[in-house]
Amino acid sequence: MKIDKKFVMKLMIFSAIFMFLAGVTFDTYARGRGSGRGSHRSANRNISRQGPARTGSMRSSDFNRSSRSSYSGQRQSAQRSSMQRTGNTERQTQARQKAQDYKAANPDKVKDFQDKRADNAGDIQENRQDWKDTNREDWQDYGDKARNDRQEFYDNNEYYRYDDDWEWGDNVEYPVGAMAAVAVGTALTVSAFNSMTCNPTTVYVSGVAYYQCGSTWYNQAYQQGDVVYVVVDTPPGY
Amino acid sequence: MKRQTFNKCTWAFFLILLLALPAASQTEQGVEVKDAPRIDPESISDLVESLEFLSKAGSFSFTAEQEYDALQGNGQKIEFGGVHKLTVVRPDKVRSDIVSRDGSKKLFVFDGKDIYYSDIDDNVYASVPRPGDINQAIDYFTEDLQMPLPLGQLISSDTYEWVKKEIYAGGFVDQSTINGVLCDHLAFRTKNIDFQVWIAAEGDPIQTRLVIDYKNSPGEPQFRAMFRDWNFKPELSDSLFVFKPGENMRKIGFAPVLRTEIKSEEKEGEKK
Repeated sequence: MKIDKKFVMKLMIFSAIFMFLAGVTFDTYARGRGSGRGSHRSANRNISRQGPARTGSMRSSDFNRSSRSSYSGQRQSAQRSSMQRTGNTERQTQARQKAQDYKAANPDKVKDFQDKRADNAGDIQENRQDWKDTNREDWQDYGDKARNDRQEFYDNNEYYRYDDDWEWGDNVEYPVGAMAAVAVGTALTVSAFNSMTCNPTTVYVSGVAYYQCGSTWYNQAYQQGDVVYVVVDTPPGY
Repeated sequence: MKRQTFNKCTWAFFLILLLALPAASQTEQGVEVKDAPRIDPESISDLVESLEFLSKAGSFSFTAEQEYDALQGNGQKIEFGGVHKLTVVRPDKVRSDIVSRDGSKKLFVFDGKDIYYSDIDDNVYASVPRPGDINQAIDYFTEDLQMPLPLGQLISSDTYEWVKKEIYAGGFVDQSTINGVLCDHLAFRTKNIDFQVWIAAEGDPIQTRLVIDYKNSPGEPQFRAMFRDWNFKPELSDSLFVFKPGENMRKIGFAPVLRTEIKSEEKEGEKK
């Protein structure tokens, strides 16, 4: 059997390039996820831990509330269910109107905020793009079914898309200038609170911590088993 | 002529067979047959006996390896879980330590006067006065404060009444071994949930496993628990039901209580 030496050489070179690029790709992916295998990874806060099964309850009254609020994403649902509980539709309408007005009056700030939000999604999206770009170059040439499946999974999974579905008026992540629009009683998850553009000031009134962000004040509280920030009235003396 | 008759007979036979099959299979499955009793009395009696046994136990502790499904926006169910240790002293003391799989620790304490709930890692706790017995405390915590306390109903002493009222179908599945204990595997249905329970077939009627299906909730998520280390003479130190916040631990509220306070303040403001 005659072996084509040129073909063997080409095959070896292609293999070497493939292994190098694959290594770079996986390294990028690993760094994008925060760290490598074996080291401590922080939890993906975009994945909901809520739902009726969390209660382990047999009585319907215990889990119907959490059932309603678990389906369409944790942050969105926390906002909506808490808004419903406040029962103040007028406030909600005003808040939405204010947010819409703000959006219309400050298109540049809205764009800045959207950019910042994109930055906050940050490393994940950036690396996701790297991942896609790298794949486009590498895998179109070489093809690898298993890794293509992974690419499809990564492209198709929606864990990082909750924010993309949010709309102004329903959104609790306002820039500082629009914070006055959030209704008293509204709850923000810790991740939503931390992703706000303001740097909250903490003051203690009668031993209770208040967090000020713009003209909005928050208390921490438990809601359905998780710590959230609830919008409250201005504390006495402020 | 004979051949035609044979063909007709053959077709008629297959037609009858086809019509009879669904009825036969329904009878074999046994669950949905209209004339059959929907609840096996012996099975419901076994379940009630197990719950009553717990409700009459003065003090006990057990550990549960529990897990649950959380439905995501994309339709995928993701499993979370942890280890849950419950210690109960009737009529008015409960301590619940939960260590989640991600390492986070939560603590629930009811001392007969107040309810405490704490996230050890986040260094926060909340407390609310609630004098009364265990049933009242669990009802208030899970219904009014809307907080999760998995297996809370297992330790409530009135759950067997709920069982008698709510279960509309169910019975014995088989005998199976869970953690080396021979158990009766029972399955029941209520309007909102289906559940399965494994109860020790010999000795004390303790539960070894519980599975709850939230069949009316999107994605039909499950809660699952494996029970172990049942102890009906637990060592009870004085500090077990005393909650002492850790150093620099911040006190926070319960959101429903906070909202009630906000509303009452608003009403007072309107009056003025």
